[in-house]
Amino acid sequence: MRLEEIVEAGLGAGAAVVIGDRSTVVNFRLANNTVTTNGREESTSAGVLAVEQGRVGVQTADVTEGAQVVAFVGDAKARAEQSPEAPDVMPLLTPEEAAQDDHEAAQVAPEALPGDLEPILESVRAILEESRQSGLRCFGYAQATASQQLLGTKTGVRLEGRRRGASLTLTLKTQDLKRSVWSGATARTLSALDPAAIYRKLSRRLAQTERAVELPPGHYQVILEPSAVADMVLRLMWEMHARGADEGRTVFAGKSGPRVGEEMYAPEVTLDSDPRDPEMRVPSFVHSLRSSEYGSVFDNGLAVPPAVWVEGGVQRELICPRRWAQDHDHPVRPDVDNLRMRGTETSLEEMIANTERALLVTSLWYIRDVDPATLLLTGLTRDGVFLVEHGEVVGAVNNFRFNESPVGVLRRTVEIGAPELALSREVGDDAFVKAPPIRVENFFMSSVSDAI
Amino acid sequence: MSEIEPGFLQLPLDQLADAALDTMAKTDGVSYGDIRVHRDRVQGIHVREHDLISLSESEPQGFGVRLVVDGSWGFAGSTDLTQSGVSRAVTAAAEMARLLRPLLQERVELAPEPAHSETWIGEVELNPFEVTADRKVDFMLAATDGCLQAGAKFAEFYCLQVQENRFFVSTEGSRITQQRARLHPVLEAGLVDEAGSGLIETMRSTARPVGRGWEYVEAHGFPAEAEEMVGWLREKLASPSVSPGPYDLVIDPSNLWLTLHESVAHGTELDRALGYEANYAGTTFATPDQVGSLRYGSPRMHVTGDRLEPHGLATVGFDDEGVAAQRWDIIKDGILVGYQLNRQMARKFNLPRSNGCAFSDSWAHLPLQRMPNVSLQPDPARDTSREDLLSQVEEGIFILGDKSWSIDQQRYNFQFTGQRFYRIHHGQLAGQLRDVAYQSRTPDFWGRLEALGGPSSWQLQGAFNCGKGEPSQVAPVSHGCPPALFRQVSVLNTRQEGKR
Repeated sequence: MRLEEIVEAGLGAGAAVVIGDRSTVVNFRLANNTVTTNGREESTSAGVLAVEQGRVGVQTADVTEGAQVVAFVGDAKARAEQSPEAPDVMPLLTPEEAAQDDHEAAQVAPEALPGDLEPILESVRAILEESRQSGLRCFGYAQATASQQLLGTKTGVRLEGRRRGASLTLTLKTQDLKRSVWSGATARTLSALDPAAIYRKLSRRLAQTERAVELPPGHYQVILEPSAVADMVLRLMWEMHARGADEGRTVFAGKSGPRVGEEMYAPEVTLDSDPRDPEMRVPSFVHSLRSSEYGSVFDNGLAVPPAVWVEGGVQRELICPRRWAQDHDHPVRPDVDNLRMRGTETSLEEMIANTERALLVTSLWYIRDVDPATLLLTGLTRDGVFLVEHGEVVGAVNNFRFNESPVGVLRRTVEIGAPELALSREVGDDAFVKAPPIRVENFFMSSVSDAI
Repeated sequence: MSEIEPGFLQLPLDQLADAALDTMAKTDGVSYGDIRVHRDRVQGIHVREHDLISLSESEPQGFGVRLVVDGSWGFAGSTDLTQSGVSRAVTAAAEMARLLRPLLQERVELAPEPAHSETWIGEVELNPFEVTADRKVDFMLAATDGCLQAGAKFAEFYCLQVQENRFFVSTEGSRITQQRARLHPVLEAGLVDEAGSGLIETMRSTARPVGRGWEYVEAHGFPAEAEEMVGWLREKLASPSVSPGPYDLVIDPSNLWLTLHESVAHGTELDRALGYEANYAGTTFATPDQVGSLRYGSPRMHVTGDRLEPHGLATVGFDDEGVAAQRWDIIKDGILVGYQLNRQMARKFNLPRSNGCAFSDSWAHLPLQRMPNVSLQPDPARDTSREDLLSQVEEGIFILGDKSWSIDQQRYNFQFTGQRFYRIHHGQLAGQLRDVAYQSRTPDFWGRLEALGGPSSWQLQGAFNCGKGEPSQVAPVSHGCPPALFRQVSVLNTRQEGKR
């Protein structure tokens, strides 16, 4: 069923907002030098929003025919009639007030097909063979995704957004599983990724684990690789909403209001977003069927301009939907589905070469909130902690549990390297992030983890 | 809820299955195949203070076809619930299998399972989808209002309600229809220390996710608990910050279930032990060569797996590859004796049959080996109460409710916080503490288990959101346990950990 049919069927039945969504995914997994599972999924869904005198009802479902969409509108209207008035009521945007159509988005291929895997299959087959021949064990995952959204409102807004993503992650272990390294890469398509290059990097790294160094918990200078930085800045970003700051619920709450304008981080730290970044393109308009701190259903169609969240160490903006902004005297600031940490041209290798003594941390794992007031997080290092001494990696260090806040980490950042597309190990390619490696003083490793 | 919902039965289930089996039969090299048709109803309600923030309902529905071609899995899922849509998906799944065949080193083989033709329904009293939205919203707003009336700065109530319908047909002759429901009510109140310390404290109610209907929500006692929660919060804000160090801990089932989930239930998944999750969710220290010899913990430890526990979140009649629900031992007398299996893992482990742990969270995903209800059994010899356990502690901490949790990829090092922490002094509770986290290493922690509560103290707890697999899948799961006494566990002060 075409998305245009979904949208027009829903609006024709009296919906205030309809979002048609089509998504496709292809993937495969690797373990112990062989492919294990694979899959292709395709879905078409409709989401309808009914508004009855400021009361809201929502219904979303996978669909195959227009009659289903019409029925969903009835369900959503019935739900709206049973609901109290929504606290974020605002007039729906007109086409003139809404985002303009992003013509470049239409150039993005709308489907991920099994053939999207083909560009990397031979290279992956060769990797598995090499791993076997070398007496190693290779594990991994590859996926390509495509999604397409069509937004329609009863006020005449029609906007289409498309998003493509791909990622490849590999873990390489010795046969006895006593040593392990990981790396991942993301791009808009798998054809833009180089599995052989990732494997070569892992082989080098695994060789560097031959010398084991046991270190105790404590405070260390660390160099966080881009994946670990991506995890930290995403966690920070998730807290950057005006409502939480106004209510005193997040680290962005100051004694006299939100900490906008406060120098919270090192002066070199800048975080921004741009939905039209060519490497991380995401829809540049609000499309949501659920109101929250991050957005309002009444803001559907609102343009998402580039944002500068942190500039020169100063917190500049917080996410704020229209109604909360109006009621609390804030600027309107829609959420953006990508994030960039600005950096320099210094490579990771140069940072290592300029190091007297530090831990090089490849990736982080199982990160959870501990204290919202400070945004204290706990988590672990995983698949690659190295001791750097006198400009060289000298051995592999045991894993650690850390207790750290991204705010503190970015305040104690003393060097920033060259940004790259980075794959958060916990979030995967659902999040588009560009992050550099960073050098952080006094990073707190709370205890040793025996995990390999 | 004693009948399968008519809306699910109105789908052309038999025709879709016939199309799948027919196309599989005509596709070269298919040695096994199955189709699962899913239809879920999911309703989420979120109220904050005096407002309804969102009330949305979704109905994800579609099918997944899984087949083996020349020893290789192929999987395709689609929302196109037509016979032609199913035929296309079978062709796509076979294409995936052939495409990936050159990368295959280990052929798929499945442990045998008898064919089943049955219907199974998880019983609930009051189907949440038969309760009007205004009744539910009004009930939830009364609870948040109760928190605010008692002095909370903010109050939220989420309630996620799910009804799952599944239809499974395999080339081996199984034809199974199932239905179950579950919900998770979460009331949370918060206070900010107005004295200027910047402390934010939040507290969740003791309500649990359950395989029950709306009757559970209305019977929980939210109106009284709303007021209690704010009192507990006030006491917590005024309470002393814990001094870090080793403590004797008495851990309530409302906290211990999560430690059991992370350190035992995940640690005894055979797919982890065999490396299938090494790139993502991780592995485990409990490797297959240690079955029968690995001392997981104290001899008092008896841990079972089951998919039978009434109202359990992982309870089913049959798993997602048609294996009948069972119960078995995982740890007995503190020793690892069993694993969680699916048919492929059982065959690989040379066992005669799977114990029924295949699960897929959606039509869109291939079933993985996922967790059953994994439970710590109570003291079989004596009906020890929580108070009996407290009386055995001279100086320690009693922990209630789960909050922050984290564990490493081999299930060794963990750190947990909680909702409430009480000082234990001379065997009695002596006021709350704050900023508590306990950190340990799995075999050390369970080795420090000294006493368990009895059968009367055993509670079924659980979660909706257990994550695993690539692409990531979430599974609901229950864990039963009694309160338990652990000696000399490392306790941290989270405020001190955060200071730099």
